[in-house]
Amino acid sequence: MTPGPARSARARRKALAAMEAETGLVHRKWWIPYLFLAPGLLMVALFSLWPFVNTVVLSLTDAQILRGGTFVGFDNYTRAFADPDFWTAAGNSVLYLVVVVPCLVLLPLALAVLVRAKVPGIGFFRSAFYTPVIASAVVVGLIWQWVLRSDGLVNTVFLRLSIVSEPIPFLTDSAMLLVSAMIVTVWKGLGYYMVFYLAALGNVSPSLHEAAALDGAGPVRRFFSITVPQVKPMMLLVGTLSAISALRVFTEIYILGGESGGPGGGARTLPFLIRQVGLGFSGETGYASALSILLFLLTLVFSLLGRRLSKGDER
Amino acid sequence: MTRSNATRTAVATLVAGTFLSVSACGLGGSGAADVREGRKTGEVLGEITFRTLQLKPKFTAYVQGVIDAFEKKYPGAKVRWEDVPGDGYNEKLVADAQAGALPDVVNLSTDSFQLLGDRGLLADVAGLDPEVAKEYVPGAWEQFKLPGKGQGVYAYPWYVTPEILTYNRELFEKSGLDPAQPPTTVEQFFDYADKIAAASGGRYSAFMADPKGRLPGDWQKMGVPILNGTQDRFVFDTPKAVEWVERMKDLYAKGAMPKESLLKSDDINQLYGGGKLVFGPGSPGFVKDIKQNAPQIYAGTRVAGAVTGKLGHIGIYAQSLGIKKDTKHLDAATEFAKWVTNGPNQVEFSKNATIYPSNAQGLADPRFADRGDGTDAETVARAVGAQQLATAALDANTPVQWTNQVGDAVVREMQKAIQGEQDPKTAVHKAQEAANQLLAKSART
Amino acid sequence: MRAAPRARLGLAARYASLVLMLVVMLGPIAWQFLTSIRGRTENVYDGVLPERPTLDNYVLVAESFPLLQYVGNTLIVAVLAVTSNMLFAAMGGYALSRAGWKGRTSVFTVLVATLMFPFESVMISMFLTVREMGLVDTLIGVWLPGAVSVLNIMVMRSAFLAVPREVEESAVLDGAGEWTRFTRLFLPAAKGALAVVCITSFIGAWDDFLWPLLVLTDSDHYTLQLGLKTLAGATTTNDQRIIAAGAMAALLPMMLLFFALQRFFFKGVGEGAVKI
Repeated sequence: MTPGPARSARARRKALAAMEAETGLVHRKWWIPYLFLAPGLLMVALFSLWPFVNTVVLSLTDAQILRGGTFVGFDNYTRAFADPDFWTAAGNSVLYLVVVVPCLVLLPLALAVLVRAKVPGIGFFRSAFYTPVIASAVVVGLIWQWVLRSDGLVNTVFLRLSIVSEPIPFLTDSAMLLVSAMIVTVWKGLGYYMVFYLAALGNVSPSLHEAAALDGAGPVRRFFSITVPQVKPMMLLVGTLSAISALRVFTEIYILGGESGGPGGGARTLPFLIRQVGLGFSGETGYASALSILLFLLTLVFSLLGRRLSKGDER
Repeated sequence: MTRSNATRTAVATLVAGTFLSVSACGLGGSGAADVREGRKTGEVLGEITFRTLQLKPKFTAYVQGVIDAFEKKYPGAKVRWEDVPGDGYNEKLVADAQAGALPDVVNLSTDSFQLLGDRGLLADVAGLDPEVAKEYVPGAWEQFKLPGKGQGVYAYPWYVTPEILTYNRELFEKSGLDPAQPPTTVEQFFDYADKIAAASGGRYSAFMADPKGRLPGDWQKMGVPILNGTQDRFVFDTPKAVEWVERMKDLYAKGAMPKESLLKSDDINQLYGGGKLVFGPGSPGFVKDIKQNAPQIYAGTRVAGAVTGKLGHIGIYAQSLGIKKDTKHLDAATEFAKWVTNGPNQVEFSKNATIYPSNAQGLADPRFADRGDGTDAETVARAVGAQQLATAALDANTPVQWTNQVGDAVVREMQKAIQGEQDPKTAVHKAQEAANQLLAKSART
Repeated sequence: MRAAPRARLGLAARYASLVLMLVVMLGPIAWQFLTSIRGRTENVYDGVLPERPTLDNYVLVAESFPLLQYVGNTLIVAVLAVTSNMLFAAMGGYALSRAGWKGRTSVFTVLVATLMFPFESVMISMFLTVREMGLVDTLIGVWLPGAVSVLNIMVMRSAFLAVPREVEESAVLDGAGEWTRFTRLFLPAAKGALAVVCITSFIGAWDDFLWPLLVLTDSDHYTLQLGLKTLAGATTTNDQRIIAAGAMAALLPMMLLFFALQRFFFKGVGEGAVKI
């Protein structure tokens, strides 16, 4: 992306010509966009970049909570790579992302299409579907525990109907616990991303649908051939945002799997590990910072992958 | 040209910022070295801040009354009261400590006391005023010494909440147990649970597995040594500890505990209040909760002394008031902390809340001996709690070295063993290894 | 004539799926509402339906702490956050959506990257910065770090990307300057996205707990979420009915706002200058 220093004059002219072609008739001074971005950039510099630099520096030290550290080079990183807990957690985080992101890109879109129709009472449904977003984590945890416990709603029904002979260990087996947490994440995300899609669907012309319907296209075909292409930029955004939040999952694991993070800590994600390491009396700020940086790098890798994928898709 | 200058400035700012932030964020050390100790002047003057843990709005009148009386006694002193909710209390303390802006007088739980005390941010109150020790219950006073810090005491004991045993009388009887004979040892507790599991048919459980809350207390009660003589190595890898795991594993398989309670136990009130659990949480505050939320279950709730096993007594966990080491108004701060924790003020407090005074004079108040007619659980709980506090001693407490991280590490191994994925012997062994590794790490200074 | 029964069937299917989703999505709130109206003498842990419904718990909530004051404080932060986010995120998103300036990709990359910083690791530094600025224990300090969130900039950018260049060009030919184009052409075209920004920033400010807790010390300045936490406490009694009533009271304004705004999602087409 960054051109080398020895870029030839011809290449520069070519680039300028390309930029001209890209912008067409719209000319603007180079600083105008920065003026527009100034408030955003200022906030980001103060409250994200600056603290981030701090985290990077701390990750190279053996600082503990409220106790200064000394420079230890990359010790924290080598320690992480040698720590089986780190690999389990990183694996869980990646697994989480791989499962949750496709669900959160597609299901809220389907939901948005469902509540888009102008039928009586639809405003109520739209608002109701948004409530999981604003429900408190504690209540969400209690409800889902009640549904998923070994003597909970699902297991009781399944046992009654003889679908299973033993209760499914939704909450007491590490792998199942991850699946249960994913269900909660998707459930919470449905309403949240539905709103994004509703905004995007506002721009999809209904006449396209009518025309396609006249051509005999069923609702499913219309969904994939008309709706999906129209909201593609929003799908990309939702994909990015849900990927980032999937890699940050802590609360769902905590409210379902307790403070150990599943039996034997087997369902811990990276953010979970970071908290466990960094907080409390023996909180290791240095090591936790290194884990944060690794989490950041992991997120970066996935968002680059995502961009590559979506670009390949467009061609 | 302009832009490359701008770039250079930006880089320079960033570099300078890094150094600034490094010193701000504790690399330079926010430890004892740079804390300028406050000094006594003999005059109680100045404005101090006082931070409490979640006392508003319920105890606003009480606390304000204590403050007003203090300000009346010392007209030169002024107290600014901040009350902070329990969730996030420690995070806020750490952030304030990081910024060098702790309140002058601050309510500390065991965790936050250890952290701030160990980092040299609290004043040694015994050094300031040795006489004051005899005002408090000895165990409570001793609790605020720190390993490796000699005879210093780093906080004034405030209120105490003792451990008790609560159980559902009806379910007790249904399981063929005598409610008048509650268990007194861990082994007996397990025997009872065995009977309950056999009789319940899966309709109710005996107790919450909650290994995090149960350890190391259960081991101590079974006579398992936790630390070696010099307090620098964990030595709990013993046949007794293995026996504990084996029994837990067996009872877990038999359904004596809710399956999910191995991981989390925050639904204990729901389960007990819904009549699905025989043994409830072991605190007097819980009895009051149940009275409010499940009056019918409350009516059938019995209270007894906690299971103490070989120890024969409970531990003592006092909330405390720490004094910021570099406070500007040391006299006002210490006088105020002593004022809040004195006998009359603590007794008055206990009339409003389910807490117990750590003050010797306060605990002697007749209201703590009154059992009523022996049927009202709340009244009995108060008497039982106070009675146990009279003999409470620190050897039943969780050792300071058993930090939250150590607890987590041990519990992870226990969970695997109780679920049957790991042999109990291996589990205890691995747990001790992990615990010792963590201990060695935190000993580094 | 064949279409009518078919349409009716479609409508029935739609309502059936809506109701099914309603049951799944509304569970926690419904349960909390039911708890909040349970009578004083009931066992709140037993069963689901209240036996002696009452509104007393709401009265108790209002009496036990300065509800209106806390709501007022929260509204100040929320209104500030909504205003600044709608304006600044739209401006930022606009700049990022328009091609033809140097550094666009780099700025975009940096902004997306900051979305990935874990909050816990930057929290203490943020606090120290706000402290340095002298904003501790002020509502401005609560608002400032969220004054314009990168997420909202991204939302606006993606909405503006949908505005075709031809439309912008014709505005240029009409002699419209940059700011005019932004306010007259682009903003109306992105009403739905603006509504999203409004809702997310309002809810962000309304729901935030840990950050206001760090910044605020005087309980007179507390926001609603901080106030609600004082309803459940270690030394106070945990009355589930009161806690639930408090949570419901906090939820209601958000629901109303959402209900009022959801119609805006659909006004992008036809109203704005842009037709796609």
